[in-house]
Amino acid sequence: MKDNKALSILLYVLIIFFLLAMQSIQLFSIAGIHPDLLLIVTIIVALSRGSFLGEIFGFFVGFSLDLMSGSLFGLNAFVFTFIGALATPFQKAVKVASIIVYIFYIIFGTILKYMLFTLFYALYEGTQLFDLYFLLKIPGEILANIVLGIIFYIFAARIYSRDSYDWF
Amino acid sequence: MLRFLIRFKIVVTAFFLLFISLLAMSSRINTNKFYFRTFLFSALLNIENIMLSTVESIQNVFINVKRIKDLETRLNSAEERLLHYRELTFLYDAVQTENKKLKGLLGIRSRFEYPAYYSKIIFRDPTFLSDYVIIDKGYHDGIRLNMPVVYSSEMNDRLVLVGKIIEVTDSASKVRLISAKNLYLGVRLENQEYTGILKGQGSWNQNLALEYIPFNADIRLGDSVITSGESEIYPPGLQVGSIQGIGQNVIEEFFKTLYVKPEFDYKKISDVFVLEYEKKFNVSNLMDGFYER
Repeated sequence: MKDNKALSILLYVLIIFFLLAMQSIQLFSIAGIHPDLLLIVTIIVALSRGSFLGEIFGFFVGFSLDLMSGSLFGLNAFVFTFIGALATPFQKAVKVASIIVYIFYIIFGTILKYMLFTLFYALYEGTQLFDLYFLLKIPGEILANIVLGIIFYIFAARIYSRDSYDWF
Repeated sequence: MLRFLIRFKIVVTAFFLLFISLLAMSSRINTNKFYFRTFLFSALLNIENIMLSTVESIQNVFINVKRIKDLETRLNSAEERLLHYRELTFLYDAVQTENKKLKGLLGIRSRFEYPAYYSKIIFRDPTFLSDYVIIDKGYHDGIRLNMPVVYSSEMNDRLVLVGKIIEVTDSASKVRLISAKNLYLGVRLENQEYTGILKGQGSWNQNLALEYIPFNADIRLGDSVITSGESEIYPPGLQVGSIQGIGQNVIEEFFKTLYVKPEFDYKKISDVFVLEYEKKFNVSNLMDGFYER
């Protein structure tokens, strides 16, 4: 059991690093719009494994991203933890098929991410992020996230249906 | 307390993590004064670099495969174009050769004193005798019986006698060569003014026999033989061949027999001209018998 846990943690860590690498080379760029892989995977983990694992996974994803990027330190960790933590309440509030919840949550998560970015940058840096380009970027990223999210969802559904071990 | 924590572990963990994040933001770690971020970044960067290079390597494989496919496509296209250009070059060479040949033919035609029909040899006598060739011009082209057939020698720009028309169809004619057995024609030694009768021996590689040359004539090997003009068929001055041998006829003690090598090369000639030679006289009624056959 302990071996399984260690293996799972290692797997999740590797996934985080792999996603960071993928995000940095922007492999899945669609028409110049870059989908947020880290957000998609955080949502998948949170919706399939529950908010507890989702928020921890989100925190580490965000924290890693904070270390790698030059943005406000802790902001990504906050955003991804927040998105991971809200997954189960959102799932309970929206009682529809899992794929629809998933798509809705991708839309919600993307908007929430941008809102929190705007808010915290304004609070801590005194920077106004909100402009026309920022506004136009959101729908494009939502669309790209949905497209890539569906592809990831199909793969994730297959992977999660195979393993049956518990986390923590 | 512990029970509370376990019961509300999701909320507690979330608040804890969010608090840490806020703390990180509040402490403004991204300033140069605090090296915590730099330290963690250095540790993470090495792992990330390995991951990144792995991902990039995989990505490069796909990019390179695509590039190879593109190169293959371009190579095939280039090969096709090269083939096309080769064909064009070949065609250009063929056209150039034909052009040169036609220019030559035009030059030859200008030398004729009589109307001439250009013609190609389309068939050769398959037997060892090689008595005749067939040309691609016939009755519809103006070819008639007994018209002389010549070709232009590239060596000295002179017209060389090949033979005469012996059969005419609508679109082709048969030419009897001067080397054919029993073909007789009147000839003259170009430098000596002696005339004689040239007789085909049959077979293209045999010398022709020139008879009735006086025994006291000063004949030299290599002397040129031309048509005498004492003929209803052949115009004067056409080159026939050159003397290759001198013999003495045992029966005809006053005459020599000369052996003449035909000027035309049976194996090489491919284009000939049929001359429309107009007879300006009619000797057949005045003579006891034909010497030309």
